Amino acid sequence: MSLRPLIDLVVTRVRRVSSRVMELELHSPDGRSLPQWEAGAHIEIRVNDALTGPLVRHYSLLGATSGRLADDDPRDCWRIAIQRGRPGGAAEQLQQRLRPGQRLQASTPQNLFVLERHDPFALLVAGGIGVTPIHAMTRSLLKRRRAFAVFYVGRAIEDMAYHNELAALAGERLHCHPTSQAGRPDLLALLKRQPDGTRVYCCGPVSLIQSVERAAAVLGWSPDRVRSEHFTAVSPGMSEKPFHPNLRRSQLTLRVAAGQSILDVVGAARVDVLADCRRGECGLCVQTVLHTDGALDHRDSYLSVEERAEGRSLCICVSRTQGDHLELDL
Amino acid sequence: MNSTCEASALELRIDPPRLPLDEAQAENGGLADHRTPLIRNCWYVAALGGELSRTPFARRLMGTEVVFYRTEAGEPVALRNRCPHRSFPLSKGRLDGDTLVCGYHGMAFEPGGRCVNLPSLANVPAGARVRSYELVERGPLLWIWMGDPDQADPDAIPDTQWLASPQWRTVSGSFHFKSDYVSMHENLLDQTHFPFLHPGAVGTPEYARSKLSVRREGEAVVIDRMLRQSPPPGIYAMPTGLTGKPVDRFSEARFQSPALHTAFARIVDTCPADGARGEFRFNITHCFTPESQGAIHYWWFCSRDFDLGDVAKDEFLRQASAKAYQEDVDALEAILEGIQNDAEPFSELHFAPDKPGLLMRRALFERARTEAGLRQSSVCNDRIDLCRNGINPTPPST
Repeated sequence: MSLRPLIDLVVTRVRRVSSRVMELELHSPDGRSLPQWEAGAHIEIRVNDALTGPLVRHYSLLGATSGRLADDDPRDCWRIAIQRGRPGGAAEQLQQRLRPGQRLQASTPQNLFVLERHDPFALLVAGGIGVTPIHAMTRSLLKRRRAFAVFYVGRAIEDMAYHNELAALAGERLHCHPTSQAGRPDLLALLKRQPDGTRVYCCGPVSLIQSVERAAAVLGWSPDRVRSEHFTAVSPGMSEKPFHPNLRRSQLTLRVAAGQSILDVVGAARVDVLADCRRGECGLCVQTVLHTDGALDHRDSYLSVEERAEGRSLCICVSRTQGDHLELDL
Repeated sequence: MNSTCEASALELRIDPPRLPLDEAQAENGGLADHRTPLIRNCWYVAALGGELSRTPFARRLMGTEVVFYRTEAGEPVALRNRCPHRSFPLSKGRLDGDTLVCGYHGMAFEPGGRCVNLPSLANVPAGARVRSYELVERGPLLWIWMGDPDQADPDAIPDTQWLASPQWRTVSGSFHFKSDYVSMHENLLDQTHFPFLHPGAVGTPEYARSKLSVRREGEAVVIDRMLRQSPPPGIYAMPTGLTGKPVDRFSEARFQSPALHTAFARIVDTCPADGARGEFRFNITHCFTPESQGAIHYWWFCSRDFDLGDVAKDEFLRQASAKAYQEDVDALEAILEGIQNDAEPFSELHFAPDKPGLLMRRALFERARTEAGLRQSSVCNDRIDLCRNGINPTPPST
């Protein structure tokens, strides 16, 4: 059950923007204005049908992607980009469903990745599909006439969605770094050459965010000078595989696929669990673990080290088990 | 139109649903009135600089409760006055250095709005934030931006430099009353009411009949008036010492933005006594900020460029201005109360001298309409159907 209101949307346009990324235009079904949002904001998209099972996915809102600052999307239109997932995976199945005419529900926009208004200099760092909020932030910073630069990391230039549009917007302020040619980026050197007081906004894989945070720490920057956003709370080195939660009090055994969360599946089974942030921060969805046959994969930032060691609590919006079975007091 | 493209195509699309665009236009002939949604993408006066201190205070602006304070360095801060957790008014909390601490559960917010301490959790969630508004101090005024943050351009704050200039002496006052900014602006652009609502003080019958010229300057509506060899009205006669003497009067009344009306008057004594001053200038500044639909905050300033140290003239202008503006306030409250309590259909009559007000109301209506997203955008409709034409949708590299 969601604690936030849901909005009905219709997919109106699906467009390939790179070898791995599809862009979606979403409209309100009646042409009325959608809630306003600021750069960095995301929506939760919900799909639940026989093919995909229950899925909740977070997508950053893009704004107009024409590469021209003067273009703005009309107020009844939102734009997101989806990266192709593993064949047969949940993201792949979701992508298959999102065709023009498809109705879906989304949350109101929420912004956990807010651009501060008075940064002396902003360095935007994008990794892969993490370019989506960075694209919106680039437009905002240009409109606000603030000083900034964009550093965009991807495997190969043809995989990097919107690199042409970003170049049209940001010009010399954009630096693209395809790792297939240029190798791993030297983030320490990158941060070192930024102007005094620079704040970094980083969106991409957890490994990239952690590397930026480490480089900032080495340079003695306060942690507040690196802001980041990631939607898949993946613990490095841990694989994501399906498992079967057993809800003892509800007498239900469910299946959580790779790419799904326990919370999605429990919610779809109409077991009422309170949850708010869905990113392991607020602690509302924490459940008591009665038994599991593998190590718990804690991906939240809510539980203390002691609670994790105890192994009796689990933030079911992001955390999993590495075993096959998980018994919850639910 | 449903697309029939193959799944492997670069693009699939259908036409988005559209609201009939004339729905809003039909309402009231495209003129703003007291029901028109408030314009948010505009700099408004939030407070006078002197009102902010190290003690938080709250004011309702544009239908939103805002809390104000100053940092230890004296920087003005405006935050939404509602804790994002359980809606406790943050103005009832306390300052801890530059952070505002909620009086209910102790969440602490820095001036940018980010929560930096949440006592009941070990880590502060990234989404724990209260909206912070851009607030710019110019002379005695604090200007706030409550619209789209991307459009908050401080260069767009209207010029009121005379309020802080040593060449001018200013007296001022304020009202908080039940009216709407559309009527208030129309009142100020309507100079035919002066001799009747403010007899003896502001207008004269000759002035009401004098020819005016109206022009648009961007979104501003400007009235220029010239009246030669006519005695000045009471409010200008006493301070200039020209009671009963025919003078040339030049005035400009300007609807500058939804937040500001200025009136500049120049009074020229064409045959001054020996050594006496021949020209006298008054700059009147009217600032309005909707508290909500149907209530406004109003700050007025009367500035003059002569006899700067004369406290008797200060006092006269303060009292005469306050009396005249109170007459406007009373009239506008009576008008809105009447409108809101009238059940019978009504349509307004308009006359030639109402043209400046009508231009202003049309400009406000258009801005409100644009903000509501009702203007048809060319972005959606002018797109080439890339799928059908087989064109690669990626724009060329620059």
